[in-house]
Amino acid sequence: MAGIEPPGFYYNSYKMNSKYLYILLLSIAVPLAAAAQQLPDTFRAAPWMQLRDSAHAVVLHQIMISKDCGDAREGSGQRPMRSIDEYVEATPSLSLMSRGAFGKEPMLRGMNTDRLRVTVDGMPVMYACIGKMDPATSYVESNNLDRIEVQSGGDELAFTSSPGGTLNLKTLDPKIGSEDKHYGRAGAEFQSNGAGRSAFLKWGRSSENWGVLINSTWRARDNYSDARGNPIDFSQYRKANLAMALKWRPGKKNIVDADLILDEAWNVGYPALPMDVPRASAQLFTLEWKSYRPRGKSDERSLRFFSNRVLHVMNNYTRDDGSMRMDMPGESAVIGISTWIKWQPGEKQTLRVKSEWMHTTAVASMTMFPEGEKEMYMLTWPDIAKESWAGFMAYTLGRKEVEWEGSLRLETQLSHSRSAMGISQWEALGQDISKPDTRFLGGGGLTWRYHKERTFSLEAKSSVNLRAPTVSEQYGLYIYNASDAFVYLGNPALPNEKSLQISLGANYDNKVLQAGAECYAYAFRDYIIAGIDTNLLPLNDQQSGVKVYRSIKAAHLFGGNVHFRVQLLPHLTLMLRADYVDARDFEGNYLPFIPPLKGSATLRYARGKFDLSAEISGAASQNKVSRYNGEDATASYFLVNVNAAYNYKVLSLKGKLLLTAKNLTNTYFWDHLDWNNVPRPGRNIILSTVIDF
Amino acid sequence: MKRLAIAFILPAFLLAASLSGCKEKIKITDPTENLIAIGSGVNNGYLIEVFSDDSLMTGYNKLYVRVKNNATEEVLNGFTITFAPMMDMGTMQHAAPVENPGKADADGLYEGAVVFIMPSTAGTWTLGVHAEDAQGNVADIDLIPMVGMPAEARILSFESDIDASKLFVSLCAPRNPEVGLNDFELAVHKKESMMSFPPLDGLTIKIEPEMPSMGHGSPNNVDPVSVGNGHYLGKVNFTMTGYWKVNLTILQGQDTVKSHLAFDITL
Ligand SMILES: [Cu+2]
Ligand SMILES: [Cu+2]
Repeated sequence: MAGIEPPGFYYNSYKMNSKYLYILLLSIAVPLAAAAQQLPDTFRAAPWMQLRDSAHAVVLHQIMISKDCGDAREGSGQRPMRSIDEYVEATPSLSLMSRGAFGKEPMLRGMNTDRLRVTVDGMPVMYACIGKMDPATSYVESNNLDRIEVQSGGDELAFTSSPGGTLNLKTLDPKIGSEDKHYGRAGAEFQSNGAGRSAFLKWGRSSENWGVLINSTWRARDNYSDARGNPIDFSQYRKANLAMALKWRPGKKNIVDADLILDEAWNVGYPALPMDVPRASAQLFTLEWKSYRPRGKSDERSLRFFSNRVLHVMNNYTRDDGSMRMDMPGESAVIGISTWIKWQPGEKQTLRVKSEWMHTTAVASMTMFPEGEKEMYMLTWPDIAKESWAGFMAYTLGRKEVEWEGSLRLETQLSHSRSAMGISQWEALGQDISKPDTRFLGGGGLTWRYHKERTFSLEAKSSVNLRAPTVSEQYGLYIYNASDAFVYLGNPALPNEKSLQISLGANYDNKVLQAGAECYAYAFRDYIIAGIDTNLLPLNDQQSGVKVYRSIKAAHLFGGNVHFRVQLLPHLTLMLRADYVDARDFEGNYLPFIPPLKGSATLRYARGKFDLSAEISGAASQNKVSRYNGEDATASYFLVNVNAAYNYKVLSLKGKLLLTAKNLTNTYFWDHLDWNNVPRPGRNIILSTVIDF
Repeated sequence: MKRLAIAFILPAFLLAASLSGCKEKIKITDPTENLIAIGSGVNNGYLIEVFSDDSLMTGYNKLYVRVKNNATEEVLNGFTITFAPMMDMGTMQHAAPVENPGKADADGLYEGAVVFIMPSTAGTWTLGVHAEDAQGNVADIDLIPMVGMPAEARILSFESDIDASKLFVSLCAPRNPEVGLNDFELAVHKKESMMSFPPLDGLTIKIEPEMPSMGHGSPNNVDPVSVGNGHYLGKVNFTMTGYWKVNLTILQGQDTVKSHLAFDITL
């Protein structure tokens, strides 16, 4: 498969000198360890530590059942029916890669789902679309979302070996305890732009030892219009979601949780792509047993079973661009079991051990129907099964105001193709994939935390990660990329991608002022990226050529974000936020799709029944254009969004009425991460209401 | 309790053992089981049977011959077989390229081939089969085979651009093309006269598969090289199912024998 290389590419023969990473890691670890020796070894109860733990590790807060079931958007004054995408976009260090109005791909610290693992309640959900049109975020509804948890800087090692971290969608838990009662909420929304309409109904019942919560959502939107009034064809969607959660407490020290999510989307258009989705379907299921002791030396255990299936039907039947009719379905499935144990060998010492077995499959194909000829069929994901075993261990040692945490993840992954045709297709490309591919993955992390009461904290984290290539990167066959019009071929012999990351974070919170800043840097070795292979020819003359995934010697990424919130007056709050990322290969060339410098300023006035907010958000122009793909420079833009909420009461029912204007000034724009420069919606007036019962 | 368990488990084991025992019986298979009978005849006390892989089509057809003592049904291995195909078109007659079998294989089958250069719709094919052993025992039969037209041509005939001699290029493999790398085998014969079609070795053949409706080809094809007896062996690569065209260019030394030739292959 050798071809004429763009300068700087090199082949798999390159062997990573792993010493390099470890020396770097040690050079950070040693001074920090030395500093730790200086600390007096008196232990104190640290409520802060519990809090920190609950904030960054799912395994810990999962047992915090006393926590009130709350709506993540409650108290923000924002629309209760914001989509998950809107929610993700408003979270620091997260951004969205957009192929249309639906199912945008989340990115964390400038890394997309090739390196970022998206999970639902801790369970990985793999996309079933070769073009990533169906990230896991598209299968959860925001009114069923408790919170979005972002783990990075080494914390992700509990869940994945990938360096990009994890984005976990924590769904709402049913209430349990207190008296036997029903509760619920109903809501509806209408958007002027594209006639967006949605409704949801949530119903729950709680009792002393069990709780149930059912959440159903329906959304529909027609083609939206850009700020110049032009309708954007194929930007419509329809979607329905049903989520059921059951919590049962068989004894004081045991909890059983069962979660089922059924999601169906249909008639989904992707204006930036040549294909649409007549059906996208997902079924997600988790069952978990947890045992804990709420007081004293905690001793917690959990056993979890999870499984999900994602189906993605994609074709171009509705496009009349003269191209051949094409079907490109895909399907993915995950099944797994995990256990974790947490105990405290001594005061202020915590040991967490997790083990996980997981089996994932991914298959996708392409069928073309030429007029008057036999149909043409090929696999694009040759039915790849991956089986992995992972063990994770983290040890935390607290000393007065300082806490240390060391973590280690070991993972083996076995992947193979279950399709004889898929193996033949690869044989045709000169590669033998008939034998299983075994990889050793994992990583190690070291974290240092300092805190002063509850107001100030500092955190320094570092980790090394070994990532396996994704199914597309390793086994993908002629996958079309609508951004650069190339077809992509995987590379079965890709070595693991190695990375070293360090991050520093600081937080200050004294009720009036809340400020946080974080910066991070990643150094990659054997960075996986696709490059042009001029020896290979594309499938048709509309395609620019063939790109093959390869390892480049090195790449790096760095960035940071700041967020700031200050209470100006008793009822007036100002919030500021800014995010910056830069990413280059070892020659200084930009990596694909670097999020632009983004910022927002929000002023909120909340008093009595009213909650008003105005936001100015925007992005600087992005001229860091990658030569690796088909992006171009993007202009800066500013948007104004306003929101007014009014709380009312009818009979004994509490309700809320919201009027929102998005893009109030009707700015014509698209973001740098939007594929093929499809303009975003123009002004959109949204009326929504919810009622609690 | 234990006894009860044994009482149940033991018969189960015995049953399983007896069932698996059944399967191990040696099965005597007929070597012609998966072949198609083309015809047979009796001459001088010998039964001559002719088989093929598929029903006969214009192009390269493998034929399998079995010689038996007609009285004892004993399969006889010591014969030499010669094919003599002949087409009667009314005004004229012509033969066809043949590959006469060598020694019989372990099953007593003599494997050879006939390249039918026309379908039976153009005239009447007669296939003479001559068998002769070292002792001078001889048997001759004539068959009237029906030669059909395949959906996609497996033989190309054309005049050489060099000397205007008539050449036949037949596709021997792939018979059942699949996605991936397939053996690609051609047989080339030259028409010396109406009755003589010797194999032609030493040509240079270049192949280029193409999917016309999409406009793409495939990588990693291996041009067929001359392996003797008019055969050329290479590899062809199909990256998906559907209609493919395998384009051929034939050279003799530096001179082009013929270009713009193609086999249509749909899989
Ligand atoms: Cu898709
Ligand atoms: Cu094709």
